[in-house]
Amino acid sequence: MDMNEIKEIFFQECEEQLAELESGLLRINDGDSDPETVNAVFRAVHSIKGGAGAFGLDELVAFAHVFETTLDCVRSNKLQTSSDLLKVMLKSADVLADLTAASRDGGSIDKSRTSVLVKELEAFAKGTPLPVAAPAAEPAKQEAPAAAAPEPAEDSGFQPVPFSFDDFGDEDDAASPVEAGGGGRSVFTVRFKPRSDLYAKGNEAVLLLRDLAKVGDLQVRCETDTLPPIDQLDPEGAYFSWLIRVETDKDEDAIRHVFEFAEWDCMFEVTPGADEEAFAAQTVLGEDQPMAPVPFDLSMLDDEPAMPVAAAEPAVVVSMPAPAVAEPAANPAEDAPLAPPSLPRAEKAIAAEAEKKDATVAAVPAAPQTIRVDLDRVDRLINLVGELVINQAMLAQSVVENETGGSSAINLGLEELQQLTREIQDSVMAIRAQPVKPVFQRMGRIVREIADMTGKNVRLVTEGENTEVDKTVIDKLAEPLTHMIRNAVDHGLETPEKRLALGKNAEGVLRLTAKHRSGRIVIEIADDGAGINRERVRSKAIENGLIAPDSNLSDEEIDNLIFHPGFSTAEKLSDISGRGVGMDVVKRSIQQLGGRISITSKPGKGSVFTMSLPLTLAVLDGMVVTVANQTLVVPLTAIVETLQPEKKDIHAFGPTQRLIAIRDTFCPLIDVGHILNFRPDLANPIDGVALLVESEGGGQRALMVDAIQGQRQVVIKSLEANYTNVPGIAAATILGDGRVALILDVDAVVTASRGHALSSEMTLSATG
Amino acid sequence: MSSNDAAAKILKLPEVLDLNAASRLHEQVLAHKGEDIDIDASEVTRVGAQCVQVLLAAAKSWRAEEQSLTVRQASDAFIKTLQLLGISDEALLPKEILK
Repeated sequence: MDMNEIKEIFFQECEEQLAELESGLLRINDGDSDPETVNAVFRAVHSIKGGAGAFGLDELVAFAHVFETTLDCVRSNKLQTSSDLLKVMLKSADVLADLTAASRDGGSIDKSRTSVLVKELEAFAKGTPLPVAAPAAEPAKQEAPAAAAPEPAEDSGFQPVPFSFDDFGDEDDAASPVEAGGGGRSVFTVRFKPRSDLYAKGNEAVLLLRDLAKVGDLQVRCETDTLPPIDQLDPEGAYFSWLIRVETDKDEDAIRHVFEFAEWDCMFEVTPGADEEAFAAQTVLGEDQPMAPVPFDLSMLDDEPAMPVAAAEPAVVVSMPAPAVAEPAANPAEDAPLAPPSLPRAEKAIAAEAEKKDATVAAVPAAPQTIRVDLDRVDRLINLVGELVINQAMLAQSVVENETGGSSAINLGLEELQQLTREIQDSVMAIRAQPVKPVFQRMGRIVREIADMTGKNVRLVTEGENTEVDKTVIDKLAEPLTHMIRNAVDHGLETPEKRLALGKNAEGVLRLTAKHRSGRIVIEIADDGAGINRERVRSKAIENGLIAPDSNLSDEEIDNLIFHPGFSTAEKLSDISGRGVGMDVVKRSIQQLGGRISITSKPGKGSVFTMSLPLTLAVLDGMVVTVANQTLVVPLTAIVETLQPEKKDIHAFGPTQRLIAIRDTFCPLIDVGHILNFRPDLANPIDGVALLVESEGGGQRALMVDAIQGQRQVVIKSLEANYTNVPGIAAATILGDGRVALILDVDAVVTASRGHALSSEMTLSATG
Repeated sequence: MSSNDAAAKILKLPEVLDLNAASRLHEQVLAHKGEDIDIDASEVTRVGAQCVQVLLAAAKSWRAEEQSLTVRQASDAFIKTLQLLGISDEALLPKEILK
């Protein structure tokens, strides 16, 4: 595995950490006071810093360090969370994301923004939040990351790295409110119990103890009682724990620093003062080997002189004459005799993890394991499975046609094959399914930025972010969502003053929801703003010649005008949402995904945009029907029931419309053949079959087709990719006999049947 | 990597006993279960805590079965790491090798 691959993994992990960071901050913002949330946030920043340090990404390390310092204050309850603090932190998370992106892709970032945030963060950390101009930032704190960052680059040899220990000493003393006791040495008790994860991630207790030995004089006691007999031992488990007495002229932070990269994978505790009792207890146990502690020179660890050490005693005293180092944990040069010389620790951890993944042999059942797979490979697999499904259908068909169906063995085999194919397909699809969470999280940032630009107070509430949908859908979701969110904040929500004047909360709420509904994913963006200004939209539409001045439009129709391509709103839109991209583009990109978008708006109460998208773009359960000698597929998810119309149930409604009575309701009857221009005249309903469908708007319609052929799973082949978009048709598929069948876009057909008010884009002549 | 010599019942430890070596070391030690073994740690340049766990577990188990398991030779690195870890097991750090 070369360096670039490792780096790539690092950046992928950064993305996950950034997402974790942001969701954690948002939870805190929403009042989550669980310390574990703060920990998770801290951990995320910390991991990014650690990895960035290993790759020498100084800027990233420096910023992460400042951020982390402030978070640490929150973690240790030195700093109370406030909305101001959260604001700064959320911005910092954005900057961290930018820095990460800049480190990966090159490019620069806004340095002034970073430095302002650094000052704000430091002000918070010092307990003197200064929202405006912060005084000169504490210099020592800034130096620390700068000094830490270049270390990994110096890992080429075993030479001691020249450090100015004085600087660190000063810094630590300054940072330590506790133990500075007149330059005297203080004693700490460290309890350290690694979990097996610590080792699995390439950390090594030995290295940590060595680093600790550099902080001060150690008395180490290893507790080995939990060690099982050799045949029950998991060689990769963690059984040892340590009780360590540290005598040092440094402060507690210096000790914590040693464990900072391991902290999450071990039980770790530092308490000031010596826990003589614990040590004494141990001494009693080891009384059969009474022995005075013998000073132990750290220089021995570097393989230089052999040094006689008196025999086994319960506690080995390790003392170190050299001045202590405050940055040991991240210092590979010092680790060199034990660590592979060319690998900084974090990198080693990554490599070790990667090795584990490669070697599927030593799979220890623990946390669910994941692998990263190139998306192309998954796509290829999905494509192949698609072909397999088609092939299986063809095989089944040819068995039927050749009437070899008499043999039950063949039928049984075919059935099993079908079952298997189905299962394979489901499993493959599941690989691609991802929660919408990452996209939703990105929206948080967009909301913040726009709220800042427009001076509005906005709170983004997300729901159902674990709703899963195919990766392709997710990838294409971000852009339309961004536009809609921008629109919602820019136009939907009012300014705080206006909101207050209207008796609303000054803070506008934007609600982003995802849920599964009848085999599709439905995403809603709801704001509690002013709603659509229908008068304005209407006059604009008249001005642009979209509608006749005297046309009589329903509210719904007016609302939907904003999706019209000709609806230029340059005057109305500000420079935020009006960047040359209108809602028509949003609508088009959603349609290209096989989705639909609709809007409902209540004046003064806000608007709701609803997008409905297919869960997958690959397969579909469909009912195969015949319409005017054409074979069509109707998505099964849309069909509520099928029925054979009877003459007494059919009622004419106006010159062209018909209704069908179903039990005690009337339902518009839509002749699919007529709508799609397969035939000029309306067919006789009695000769056909009615499919009762649920349309996106919620209403039921009866679609009339000539006959039902059967029900089958079909592989979706995009019409857009292979031909062009055809209104009323969602996609195409290949049937068992090799013929192409079109998949009906039920909602488009229902919309088209409603009349012609907006159907300029819905002329259905192109269907063939 | 040097391996054990079953006939002489000497288990020669490899140079590097890091976390990747723990499983293998475990197998090697288990292969000698029931017999006296002398461990030669003279070539060890690096030893991690997990391998120490294996060795110490072995030492305890051997003792429990009244078999002998003794480190006869040890490199400085081996000795120092054990001392750093606070391990003072007589079998792993016998007085002879500490002089």
